[in-house]
Amino acid sequence: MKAADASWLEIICPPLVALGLLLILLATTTSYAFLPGAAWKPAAALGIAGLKAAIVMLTFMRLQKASATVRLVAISGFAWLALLLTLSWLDYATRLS
Amino acid sequence: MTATEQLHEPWPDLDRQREGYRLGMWLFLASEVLLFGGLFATYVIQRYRFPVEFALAARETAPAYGVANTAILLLSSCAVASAERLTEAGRRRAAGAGLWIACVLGVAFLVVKGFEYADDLSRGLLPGPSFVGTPIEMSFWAFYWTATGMHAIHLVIGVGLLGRVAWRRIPTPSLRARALYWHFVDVVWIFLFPALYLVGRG
Repeated sequence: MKAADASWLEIICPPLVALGLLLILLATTTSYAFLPGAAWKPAAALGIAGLKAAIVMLTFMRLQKASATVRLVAISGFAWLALLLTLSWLDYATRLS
Repeated sequence: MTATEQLHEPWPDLDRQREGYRLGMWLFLASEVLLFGGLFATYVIQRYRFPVEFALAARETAPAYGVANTAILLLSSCAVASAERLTEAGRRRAAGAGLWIACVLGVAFLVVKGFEYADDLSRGLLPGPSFVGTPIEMSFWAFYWTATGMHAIHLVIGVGLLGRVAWRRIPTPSLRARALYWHFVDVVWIFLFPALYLVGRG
């Protein structure tokens, strides 16, 4: 029975470690945003969000062990998104008045 | 891998079947990235053009609800990922429990969101004739309601998808596809959280 319990924990150990990291990042990003006068707040918030998303996608969504085809499809969605955001923003950034 | 996994038409073997489900769901999720991406594009432009007013409007959100709901979703994703691994190890009862926990957490998210919406409404933060603030502030709140509303609809669908496999206790390959959908809804929230609750603080 004891051996069975140990392996039960062993099975869910990777998701639990990921969860711990994600909660630490949540606490970090929230406290940094409320820190008076801290620099680069938008970049920090976006960077930590990206890190959290990467942890979820690599461990929970198992992209780490996925095939090349699946990874390609997953990355392409975000590549189109990057194009959409960059080009929309460039339009406004380059307007003269 | 496990005796409980059944081979369905039109797949020739279990490996291809798993890959097919995974690829199909990721393809759908890539379209979802662009669905939410369109919304985020409006956010990026407005925040770029009117940084001060946008920060003022964002300061009206209630971060306590946001933090609580982020933690709830992260916990639920962990429960789903655990359920998936337990299913593969043949521990169906524990996996079922994990799925139910995720469903309960999903409902908890919606309840918290409900309280938050009621709070927002009472403070006149719904865009429209009764909105308290400038048109640019209103555009932040239009994003807030649209994005969180669309996210909530996805969550309701996710609870249904997980509840169905938890109820029938069938560890099919479709559990993996459903789990991917659930984690994606979590990823969307991970980006919504700082965009809505952490702007203009401190």
